[in-house]
Amino acid sequence: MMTARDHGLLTCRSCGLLAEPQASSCKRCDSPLASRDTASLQHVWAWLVAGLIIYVPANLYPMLRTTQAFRSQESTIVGGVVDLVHHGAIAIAAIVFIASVVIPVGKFIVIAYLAVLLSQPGPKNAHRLHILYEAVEFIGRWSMIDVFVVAILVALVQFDVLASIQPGFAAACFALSVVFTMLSAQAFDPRMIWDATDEGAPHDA
Amino acid sequence: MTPEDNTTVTRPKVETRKRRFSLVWLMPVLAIAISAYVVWNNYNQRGPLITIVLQSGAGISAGATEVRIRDLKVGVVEDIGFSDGMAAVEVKVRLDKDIVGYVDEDAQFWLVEPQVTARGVTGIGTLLSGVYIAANWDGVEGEFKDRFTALTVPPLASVGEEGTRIVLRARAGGQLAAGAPVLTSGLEVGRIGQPELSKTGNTVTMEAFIFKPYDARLTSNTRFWDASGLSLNLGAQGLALKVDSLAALIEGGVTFGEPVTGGQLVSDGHVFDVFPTEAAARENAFEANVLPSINVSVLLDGDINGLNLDTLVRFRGIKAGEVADLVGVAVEDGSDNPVRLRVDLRLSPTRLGLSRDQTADEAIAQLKTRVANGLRARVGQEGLFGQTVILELVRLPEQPTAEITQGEDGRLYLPTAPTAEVDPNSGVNGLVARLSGLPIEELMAAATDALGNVSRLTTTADGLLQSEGLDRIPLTLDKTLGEMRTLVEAIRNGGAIDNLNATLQSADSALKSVDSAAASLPALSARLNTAAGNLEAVIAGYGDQSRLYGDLRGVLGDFARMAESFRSLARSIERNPSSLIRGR
Repeated sequence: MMTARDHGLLTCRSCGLLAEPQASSCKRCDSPLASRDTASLQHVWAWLVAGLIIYVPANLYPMLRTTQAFRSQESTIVGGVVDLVHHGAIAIAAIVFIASVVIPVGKFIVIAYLAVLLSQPGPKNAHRLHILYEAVEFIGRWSMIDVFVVAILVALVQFDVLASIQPGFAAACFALSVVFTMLSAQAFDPRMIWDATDEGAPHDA
Repeated sequence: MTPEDNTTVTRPKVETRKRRFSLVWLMPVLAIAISAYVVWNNYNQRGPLITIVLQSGAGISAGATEVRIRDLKVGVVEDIGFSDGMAAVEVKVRLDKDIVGYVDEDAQFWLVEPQVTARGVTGIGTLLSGVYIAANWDGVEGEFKDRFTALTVPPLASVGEEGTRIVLRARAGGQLAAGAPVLTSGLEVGRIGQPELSKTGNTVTMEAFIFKPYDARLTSNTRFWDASGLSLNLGAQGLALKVDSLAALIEGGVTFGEPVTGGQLVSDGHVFDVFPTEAAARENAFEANVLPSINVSVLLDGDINGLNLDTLVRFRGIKAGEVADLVGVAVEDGSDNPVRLRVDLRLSPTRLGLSRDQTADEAIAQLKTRVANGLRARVGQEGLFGQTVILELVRLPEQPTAEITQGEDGRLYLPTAPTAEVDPNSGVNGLVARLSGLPIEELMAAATDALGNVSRLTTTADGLLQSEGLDRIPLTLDKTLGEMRTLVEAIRNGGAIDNLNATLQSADSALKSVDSAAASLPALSARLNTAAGNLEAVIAGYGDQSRLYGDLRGVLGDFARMAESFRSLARSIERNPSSLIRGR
């Protein structure tokens, strides 16, 4: 397999233009250029930590505040799932649980796994790592189901005294958490996956 | 291009030097900072957690049930569980921070549930919103307390309601229920609290709250009476049905008034008695001014039928107090009947002739002196037939000396005297004796005389009618004589005389018959007068000197006397009917 690096060239991560090794920015799109962005791991960790932190209040605080005829009820994400199960809506409960718990937590784990693995030298299964990376990237945009549900409910159910639904503090936290993990996944420089699997190929000259 | 061609190509150097700390790290720092702020802020805003012990957790759910003051939320139930031993339910409530200062000893909590009572529906909002815990405390900050026991009934007065708290004392078994209204002039001016049975079980006390400004009407002369239900009054004006209020009919209630003016204003905690009727309350007010009372007891042997609470205590014929309590007590004196009846008396010193300004001790000392002079308590009777049992305080100097003793229970015991002998003049026997003492024989003799005279008159009149000179009598006289004969027949055979006869001969129905006879007497006498008038007219037709004239004159005199005697009998019965009964 031949890479731009093998030819002494740099690739722009934004537009794919090859550049001279000395170039510090892309001629076409003016993005900063680097053969391997080792700083990207820092970005990954930073966004991941931010996402993790913000995920805590997203679970502790109420996602929805439902008011039904003088009686208001606040439900957290997990509490909502439990309620749904109690009401027998197993399928919906499963969707909500997967979208708001399994996927975010899985994302945290996968990103952390990738970052840890890439910062350590040694042979790796590049194909598997790449699939993981792609999966994280792909899934990221689907993690907002909860936020969408809240947004739709808030818009639809507003009958003043009889019934109304207000978004809770957790909705904002959850959205931020999703955003942060997406940024974290995007900060990855996938080229490092290749390097790590390039047996014997030294990264340095 | 092949790799071989580019052997000279140098790979771009991968920068491995540690780059300076990326600015992206600011994001997690910011996230931590924000989270920390939120957490701290939240924690800081948290009010205290208090525990409320309830009898039942009906409808309470953690996280949803609110604590409200004046219908504003001031806290939320966080947790609900059992207290030790599952005897009650413990509810943990997170209160708002800004009311912490007021949660002190006087805070009260109670559960508000929908209630349907005679006076309407309360707490209807809780049907939809679920129950809530209502709170109440004064606006004065105090030492924080974190454990409360919920009230079983809402407090009488909610926060900010002004008025006077009084205590009502009623006879046990009344209709009064917590929340029942206090009325005056038909207005609801207060509420009654939870009734509590006294230790002796004879009375029930309850708090009551009279709202401002009506509490200004409460004075020491105010009297309360039971307004529960109907009062039916059969009187001269007919049948009077009175209902104070429909709510009072169902729930009970008291009403108050001030039969006597000039009382002093009362303060919180004043004890008022609740009288069963308005009449009793008014009577009590007029007989008031007897405080302070002297409390003494007497021990009575045997069964005293008719002795009960409020039985009168008479001293020289006037009411000197009443029976406050009746208790059977065991007395260890070796007799075969160790159970005695202890009667607690409430005597008013002024009615005993003691000075008002005396202290209770001084009054007791005076009472001791009187006992030494022979004052005794005894069971007596009064009423027309001696049917009402009373207690009498009488001076009986011939009784063996005795003194006021103090029992082990601290009570003062008055010495007793044997029950008074029944007055032979009282009771049904007395009535019969009085009736038989009436001068009935004399009356009968007088009446027989009168009847004899009437007979003679009739005979004379017959002779007159059959005399030779009859045809010479003018037609008018004939007619008059005819009338007279009818009259005489009527007197002889008529009901009046028979009635009177029967009356006088029958002692059993004496009272009733004499009464009706008395009613017919004036009529009889009037008829006799008419007869006399008619006779006079006859006489006028004859010569002054005739024999008939003389006879008639005599008859006339008899007639007049008889009429007079009947009239006076009628008058005396009319004026003084009781003389028949009393015999004087």
